[in-house]
Amino acid sequence: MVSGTGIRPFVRLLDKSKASVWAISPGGKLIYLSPGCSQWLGFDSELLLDRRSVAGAPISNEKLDLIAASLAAPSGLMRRGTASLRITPPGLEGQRPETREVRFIKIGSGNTTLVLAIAGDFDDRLPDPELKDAIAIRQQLDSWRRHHAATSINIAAGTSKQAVRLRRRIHVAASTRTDVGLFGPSGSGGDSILMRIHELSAPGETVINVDGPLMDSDLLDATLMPARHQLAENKDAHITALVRGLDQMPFEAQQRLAGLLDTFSGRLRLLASCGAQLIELNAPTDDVISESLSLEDDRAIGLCSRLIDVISSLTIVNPPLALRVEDIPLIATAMLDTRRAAGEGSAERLNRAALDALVIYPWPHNCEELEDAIRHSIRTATGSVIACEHLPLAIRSYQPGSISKRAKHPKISLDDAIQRYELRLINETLESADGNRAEAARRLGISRARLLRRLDDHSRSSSSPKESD
Amino acid sequence: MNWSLVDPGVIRPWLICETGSRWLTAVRRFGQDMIPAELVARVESASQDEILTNLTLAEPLIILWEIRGDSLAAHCNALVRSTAINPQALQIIACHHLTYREQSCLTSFPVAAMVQHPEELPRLTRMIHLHFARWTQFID
Repeated sequence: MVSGTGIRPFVRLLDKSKASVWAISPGGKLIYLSPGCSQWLGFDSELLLDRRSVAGAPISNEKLDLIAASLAAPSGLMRRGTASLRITPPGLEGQRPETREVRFIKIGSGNTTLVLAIAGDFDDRLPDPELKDAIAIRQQLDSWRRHHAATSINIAAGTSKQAVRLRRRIHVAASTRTDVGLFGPSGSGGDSILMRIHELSAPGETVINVDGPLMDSDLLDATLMPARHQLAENKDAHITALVRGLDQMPFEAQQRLAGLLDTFSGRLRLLASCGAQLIELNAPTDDVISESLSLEDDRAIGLCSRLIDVISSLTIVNPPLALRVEDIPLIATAMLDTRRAAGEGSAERLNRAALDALVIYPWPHNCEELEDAIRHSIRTATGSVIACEHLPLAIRSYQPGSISKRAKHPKISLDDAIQRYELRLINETLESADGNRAEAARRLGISRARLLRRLDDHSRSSSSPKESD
Repeated sequence: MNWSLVDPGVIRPWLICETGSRWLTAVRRFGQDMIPAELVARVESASQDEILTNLTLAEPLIILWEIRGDSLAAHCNALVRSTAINPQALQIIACHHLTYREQSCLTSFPVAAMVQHPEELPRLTRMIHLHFARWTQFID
């Protein structure tokens, strides 16, 4: 039989330490208690040796037996191998010892099973903050899905006031069949919102997709021809025209569309996405209308007043993602869920560093860029977590530049700034020359007279600041 | 940026005391948009000692402390001292690494806000605007 190394050094160290450690024999009796146990229990722990310490076993009313039993391992230990328990043993003479967290470990099996117990402060029960965050985001997302089951569009997820307003508008639009104008910057996912509104407000109704910027009045006629026939032949027919970039549609085409909406009032519905702002477009004068095609698109952007009247029945504002910073983790997780449900990749969550990178990034191309980033990340990530290195290079390497470069530029008077700089330099040099003006002038490479003049000028300008105005 | 060229009256320093650069990056991203348009944010990383040494009574500024459980006591001390030196300084705590119990310890200190993650910073915009408006009243 192979024997272990000497136990004495180990026991000596345990005796030296202040830790409360005890061992329970295969027969369920206490066979070792460290000196730390005596300190904890408030009496000589040797008195507990050979007393039964088995959970659920009958014991006498003797105090020491009760204390020994309170040190017993929980009943499931033999099955699980480890267990945790908070133990407050009864006091031998009145005062109870403090409650301690105890870890039990089963060593060996069968008739040789030994139980080792260690009392102390453990923080392994505290959840990993990383995981805690992921759980919090998941709970928020689940709650949002529960409350907005019908209109749950990833873009509308979030707790910001912009998200709340967007959801309310979508809810109203989805509950009634009416013309809708959706305003938002490019890439903000307006198409998916309009499509969802259509599915909810008029399920089964024919929808005709119109690409506004590519239309002229003839092409629009051709695109809407089947719809016109259907509406003319069947008085009960209803059709929706989903127009992308309505404000980029040429003026004549807009007028034509407005005419059709008038003709089939109520039966032809308009769902239109526009730019971030509502701009009214006036009829172009004859000399502006040019028949020649040009590669440079200098076409005026805006809506004719007749279409403004139409979409005024319900307008939705979809703010840029950069204004919804606090929603980004939720939207990104919702997008990740959608992709995972579609069988793309195995990543279940984004770690905090990745979420931080998404939050910091300014998202010039809005939700579409975020969607692309999630698509890229889920394909790049090999495990269950998307980390920063899985994000697209542009996002993970983005560093907010010097604030002054981005900032609303403050008003700086060049003369004042130069004067301040000059004065600071003179003062520093004077200070380093212990107030010796001749020495300071020499160090600055100017004459003493010039130095005195500059100091005079500065003292005059500081005493009458208005003079410079 | 050469700060000597900017009118000192419009500079609003953000001092960030943290391990790493998470909050420095976040404040660089959102800090300027969180103060009134006519002011300029100067974002700097600083140690606890640097903050306490350079703090002056007359300066309107924001201090963001990242506090962890193991440095809670030291930071509580720093909070008290910084408040004593400049009671008008707006102190924000980044408390991602603190338990709820540790966070509740901080409520008795003059802490303007506690944030867990960078995305929560823009929520403080209104408070910071009001703080600087009050500061202007104070120096008038």
